[in-house]
Amino acid sequence: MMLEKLTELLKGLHPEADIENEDGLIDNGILNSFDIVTIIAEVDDMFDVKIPASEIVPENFNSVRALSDLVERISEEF
Amino acid sequence: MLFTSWSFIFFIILLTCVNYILPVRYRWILFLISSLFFYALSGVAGLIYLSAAALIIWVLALVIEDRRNKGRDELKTVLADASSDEKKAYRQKIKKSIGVVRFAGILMLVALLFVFKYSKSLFPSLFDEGSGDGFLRFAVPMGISFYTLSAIGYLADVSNNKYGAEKNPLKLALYLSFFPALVQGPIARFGELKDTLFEPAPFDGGKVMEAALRIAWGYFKKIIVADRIAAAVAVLQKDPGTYTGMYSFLLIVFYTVQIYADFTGGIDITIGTAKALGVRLAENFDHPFFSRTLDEYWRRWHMSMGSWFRDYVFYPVSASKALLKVAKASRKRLGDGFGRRLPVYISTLLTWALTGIWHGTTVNFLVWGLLNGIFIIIGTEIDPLSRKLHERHEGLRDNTAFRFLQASRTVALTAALRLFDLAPDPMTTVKRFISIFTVSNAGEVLGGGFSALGLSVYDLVIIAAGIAVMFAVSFMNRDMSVYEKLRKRGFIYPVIAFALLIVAVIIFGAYGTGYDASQFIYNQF
Repeated sequence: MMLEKLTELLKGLHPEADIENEDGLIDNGILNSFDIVTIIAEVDDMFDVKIPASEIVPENFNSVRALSDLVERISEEF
Repeated sequence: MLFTSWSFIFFIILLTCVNYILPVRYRWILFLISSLFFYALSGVAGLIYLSAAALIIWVLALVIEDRRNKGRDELKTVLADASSDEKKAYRQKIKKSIGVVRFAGILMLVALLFVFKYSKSLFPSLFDEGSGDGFLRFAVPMGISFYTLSAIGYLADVSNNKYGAEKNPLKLALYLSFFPALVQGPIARFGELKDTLFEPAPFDGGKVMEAALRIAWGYFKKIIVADRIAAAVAVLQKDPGTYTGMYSFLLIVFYTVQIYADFTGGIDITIGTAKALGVRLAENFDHPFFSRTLDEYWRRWHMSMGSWFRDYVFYPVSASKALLKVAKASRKRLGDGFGRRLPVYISTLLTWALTGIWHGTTVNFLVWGLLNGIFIIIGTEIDPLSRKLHERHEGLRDNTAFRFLQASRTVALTAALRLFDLAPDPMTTVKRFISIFTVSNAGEVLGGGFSALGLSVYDLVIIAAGIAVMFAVSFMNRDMSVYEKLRKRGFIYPVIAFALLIVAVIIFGAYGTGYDASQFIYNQF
């Protein structure tokens, strides 16, 4: 469910990219800092989860799977 | 104790010897004692504040960790069978209380920095500077700008669960005060530094040789190039009314050479000194003058500062509630293009304003910071144009002449912006800059102007040769350090290079009559 929603969000930002299979969204320069801010705002809206600044590292945004793991982890931690 | 003094050289040789006699687990104590000694030489009062800062963050980090642990226990025991909503509410509560502690700590650190660094220029009437008017009198504690950033970073990282809180307050005091990095950075992160600082590497002759070479290279840049050109910069800087036109252009060039040689040289000495003791500090420069864009330049010049402001200002501001609100509103109103970029631009400007203020107490630094932010934003806005250009002319990106052009543009832009460092009133700088295009005095400058600046032909030749050597070494350093390259040829080569550097510093160093090895520029920030 979460994975699907996030995939949809990223597809909306970059329709040209192969979001489901891409594992270098940051490393390959697909997502930039503008996208990151949009994603953080949307995730806050959709799941009521605030991604803290300390989690803004390439590993967490390189794939939709990593992003979904991140959101899941944050909602369990403090 | 200045880096460029015999006592400092004697100090590090002695320390290196004692260091390797001690068992590894006691070496950090030696580092702490020598750092406190180094610090005390510049004023015992500063030491009190440094200890206070260390104590504050030590206690607060432990409080944060304690709250987190208690929260975890509570969730596993009392709240084990609670509903997920209840658990969520509890998590929010703990998060909030951790946030309050972190906020209090950062506020305290910033307030202390503000009092020590900024109050004198904002409220001069409160201070007794010999006139008997005010009642306050204190000196700015050495390195306060740098260790305040380290302390804030530590507190933020612990509260974000990046690593656990340090149990030993003395180790935390060492992290803040480690003397090679105290006066001008690099601003090392606790997570990166703790292992190498508390358990330094065992003796390795090659590493010590590499360290010695690095230190000698730092002296080469500082004493031969930076200090020789410093007098001319000072003359030009002091009198903006007389030195206009071509002189302003010379000031831009000279100051760029000076700050590069001074700051990178200082960092060479810092990293070399730490290496001699078995401590690995991260690099602070990555061939900044080869950068294609301003944005890239700031990822390669004073990297530890840039990344600090990115991680602890830019990202937190970008992810803050207020900015996310702005982001949603601006997307709705301004669309997916500019509407999506606007919030990032706001945090970019805010980050750069703070970076400017961090550098100095006068308004010129704020202007310098904002202009950097504005030029980065302009760069982003015209990015689609440059993309089109590259689509039309494939291969241009890797064309050597084009790369050279881009790097020159970046160097010119950063050099011109840096002019703001040199006068507290930004208008002076603007006038200075405009005069380059309106005042034609090239004939006067070339016909004897250099000697008026205190530069003889001999000085100019040495400076030019020094720049050529710096450029050559920087170029050779791109893929592998020059030390490694020399070492591969045989152990004798680094030794020869070291001896040559020392001889060069002794013969060509700038020591005139009444010579006073000058402070490093970055000590004042």
